[in-house]
Amino acid sequence: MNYIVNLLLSMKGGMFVTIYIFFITLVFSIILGIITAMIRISNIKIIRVVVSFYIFIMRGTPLLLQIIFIFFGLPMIGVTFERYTAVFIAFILNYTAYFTEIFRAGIQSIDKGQFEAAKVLGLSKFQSYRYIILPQMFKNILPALANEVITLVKDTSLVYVVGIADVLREGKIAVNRDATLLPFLVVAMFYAGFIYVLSDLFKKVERRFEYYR
Amino acid sequence: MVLELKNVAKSYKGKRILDNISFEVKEGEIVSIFGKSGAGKSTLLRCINGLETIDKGSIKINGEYLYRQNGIYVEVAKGESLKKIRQSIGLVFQNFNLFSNLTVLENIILAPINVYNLDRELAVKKAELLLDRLKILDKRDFYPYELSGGQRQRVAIARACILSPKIICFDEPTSAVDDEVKKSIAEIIMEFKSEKIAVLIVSHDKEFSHSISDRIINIEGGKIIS
Amino acid sequence: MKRFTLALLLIFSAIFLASCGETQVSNSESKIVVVGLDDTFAPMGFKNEKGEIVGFDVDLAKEVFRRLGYDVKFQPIDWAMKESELNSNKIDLIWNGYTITEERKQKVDFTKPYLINRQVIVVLKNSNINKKIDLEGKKVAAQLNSSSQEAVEKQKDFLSKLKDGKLYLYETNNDALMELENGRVDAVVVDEILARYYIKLKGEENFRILEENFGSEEYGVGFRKGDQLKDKVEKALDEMKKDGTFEKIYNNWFEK
Repeated sequence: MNYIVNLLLSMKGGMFVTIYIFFITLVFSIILGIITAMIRISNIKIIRVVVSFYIFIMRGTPLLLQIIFIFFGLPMIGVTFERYTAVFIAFILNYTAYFTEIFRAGIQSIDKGQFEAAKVLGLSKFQSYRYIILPQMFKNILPALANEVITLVKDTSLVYVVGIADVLREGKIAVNRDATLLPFLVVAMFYAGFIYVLSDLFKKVERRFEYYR
Repeated sequence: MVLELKNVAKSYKGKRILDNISFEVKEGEIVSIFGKSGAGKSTLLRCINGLETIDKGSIKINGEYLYRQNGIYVEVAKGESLKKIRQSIGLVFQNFNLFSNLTVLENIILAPINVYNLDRELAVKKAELLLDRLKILDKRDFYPYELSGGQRQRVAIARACILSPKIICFDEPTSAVDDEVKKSIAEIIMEFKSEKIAVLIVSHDKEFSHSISDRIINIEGGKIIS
Repeated sequence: MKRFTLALLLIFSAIFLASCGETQVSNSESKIVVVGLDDTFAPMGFKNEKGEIVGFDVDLAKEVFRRLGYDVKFQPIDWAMKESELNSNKIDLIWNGYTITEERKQKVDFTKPYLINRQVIVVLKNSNINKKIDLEGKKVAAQLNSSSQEAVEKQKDFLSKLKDGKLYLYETNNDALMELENGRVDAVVVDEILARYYIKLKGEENFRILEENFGSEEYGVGFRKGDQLKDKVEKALDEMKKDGTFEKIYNNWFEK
């Protein structure tokens, strides 16, 4: 028991790192995802093509390789990032692509009549999105969003490749140091607990969106 | 004149949908556009409300050009001018298109507050007055999915006329409603007339159009035939 | 809207602070030197319960750079990326039980070896394996991308006689040793230093190290090609061996 308490204390830094990377990535990629989704359904062909290509690259290659490329590859052409900066760039670029696709599908699932009614009433594009389209979109995409967010929690462990000590790496260190598998069990419980809290949160949000159909 | 169309034409994928359409609607006049489905009457209504562009001609609403023929181009209204036009014309969609995430009241006051900077209290008061006249004040805080078809239509009407437009357009107002509702729509339209608000109706309901309109425009193959 | 802007501002400043927390890795003129190490590699360099990086190599490095007048920073890295870390200037040197091999010499400048390490064969105490030859048809494990893997796979005849004609490879030596304990593999080829550390923790009654081995290896410190810091470190290590400091540190971490 004493050992587990010590273990938890020694791993709290890693837990913070995991939560930190998760939170920053989530906030930025959701905001950017909404913007790129709106760009992606725009009428300008060249922009649509560029965004589609970006999404293809981000979804078509593993996130791990993207981190390696940004951190180790870009210095070859003179672009150097700090460890955390590189990780955030890779994570945000990658997750923005996934969120963009979710949001695009969400926006396109909304009846065209809602856009037209907003337009006829004189609402600007921004106002239509703010008051009508985005609230309706979020209701539609919540299940897909929840899936992606939970995947993000587990993807944070990929930061090991640049030596950042997230909770999984700290667990690995403890496993090697103390020659027992127990730290991995603690790590697993941490992830499960974190995801449980998130799922619960999503359930609550879904319930809050139930006021209309 | 609250509405003037001059030589309006529109093609889509090489097919002519509207062909040289000109007509006018006076203050307080009730005009029906009658035609079979596919005759182009719905497209015409969408053009008048700025939901679709035109290839040729001009559309003027309450003295402001929405579309204006200038040489070979058609200029489209922007900014303040467009805002003025939007305020002068209201549209009741065939399936109403109420915002499903907003209550009845919110549906009605959204544009007045956010687009025309009306004081919220004033907007609420105006909306309540309107809802009362339309006999649905008790539905003020309901969401669209909780309303019957007839009730939704009244909300759509309230939303379209909260800013006292000069002309209100109805797209197929009698499709899929019973005689009771039909009668009450006719009453509402007559009330508009008494307030000098023009009404433009697109319908294929011959009986309804004939009973209510001052004038009927018959359309066939994108042309006015009478 | 205001609250939203405030939240964004907070997040930006948090990121800014986080990136400031990292020291810019330097050229060799600067007085800060960044040592790359796999902080999961006990006992050479690893994090203890308090989160401090400790170990035999860490103590050596601290003493060397104290003598040379450098500030030393230990940067945890992923072991598979160590040469990339070095060549993209993210770290200045690799010092973490780093075995000198011909392949690595192509990419990295090594110091003279400072420690000899054998690739030993670990089996369970009650195992009937006593010699290399007994491993025929048995499941033998090693850490992926390790010197142990290289040493075994060099002996192609031997490799082909193992079960499935290959090594069972694991992410870490620990994984491999745990598989041995669980009976899913019959032997593990591993760095002697690590083996002795593990056996000490797990109880000496459970394991046995065979007499025969897969050759000895030499640990060196790796630098970027042409880095003059290498010679200074080499000299400092020589002096430490002469004046007994090296032995003192060694005895702190390993059985005599």
